[in-house]
Amino acid sequence: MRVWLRIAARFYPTLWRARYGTELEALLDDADPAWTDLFDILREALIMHSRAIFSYLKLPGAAVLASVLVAAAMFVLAPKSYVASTLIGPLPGSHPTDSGEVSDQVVAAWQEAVSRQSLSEIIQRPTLNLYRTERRRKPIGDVIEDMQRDLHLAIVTIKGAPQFRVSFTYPDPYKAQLVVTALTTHINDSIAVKKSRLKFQVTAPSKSTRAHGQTRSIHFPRMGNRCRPHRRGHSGFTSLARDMDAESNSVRFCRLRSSCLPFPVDRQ
Amino acid sequence: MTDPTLLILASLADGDKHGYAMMEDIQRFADVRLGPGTLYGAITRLEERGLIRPVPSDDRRQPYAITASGRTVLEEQTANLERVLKTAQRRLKHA
Repeated sequence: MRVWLRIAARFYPTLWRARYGTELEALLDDADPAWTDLFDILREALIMHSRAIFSYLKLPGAAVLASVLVAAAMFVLAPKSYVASTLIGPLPGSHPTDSGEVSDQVVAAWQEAVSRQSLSEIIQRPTLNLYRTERRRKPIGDVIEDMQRDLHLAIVTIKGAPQFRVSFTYPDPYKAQLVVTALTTHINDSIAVKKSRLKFQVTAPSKSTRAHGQTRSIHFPRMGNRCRPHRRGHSGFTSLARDMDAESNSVRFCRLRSSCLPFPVDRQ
Repeated sequence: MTDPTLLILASLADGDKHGYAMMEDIQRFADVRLGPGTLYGAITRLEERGLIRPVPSDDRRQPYAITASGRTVLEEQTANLERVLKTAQRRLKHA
């Protein structure tokens, strides 16, 4: 019987046996063995194992819990940002043979649109009044640099034609869309002034904007019948590209004009 | 009254003892036989909580002594038990 009890005692965790193993064996030598002791030892060995596992996981578990709490707090407390975006690209039928020509024209127009002078005007435009808090603390030059960080131009290819995605991230979704509209107007006008042989089109700004990776549906006023809004629930460029691939014949484009835009645009 | 930790503290209250001595003592005063696993599980928990401490010894049989906080805990537990016992006895008389 003692042999069985000694075998059962080996089921204790190694660390526990290093501390108490010798004295437990001494106890087993002294005490009158009973069959119930076998189950008693096995049960306690199991309890000690579970305690060891729990204490082993306690620190990483606490770290994971703390990380989740910090992330949740950051998500709740961090200011929300919204992304408004739109696409600019050559009109169907006017696809140039040299896509570099398109890129050059759009990039040159983009650089004009995001110049310090242009952005300064957009920031201080009464209908926009962007970065109000920042402007109280920082000179306008620094605020313009902030805005330049929030603006993006990405080149993508859809159905073999180069397209340019203009996007702007801002806490106010409506103002974000207004800024995108203003910039695309600026770009379109710059290209038109140069009397380019290429004809460009601008899609309507996206109906939904994203915040912290989430899609948030924003209600915008009805647009003119020349511009079809994206389907509800879709957002940003990805969904637009999906729409275009899925139903390229039904996606309409419009030239940038006030009747197409969801918001009135101040033209200086 | 069969809480192994309380029985061990009660056993060590009158002097240092090793595992087998505790087992015998508890059987004598409480008529409870603690299995070796249960006894050493309770000893582990009591030592972790600082209520008992090992006494230096050259023998394989490791003696343990009750600490000051162990004595305090034992006093509190016995006071609680005494209150429960008195209440139970009083109610039994009136029943």
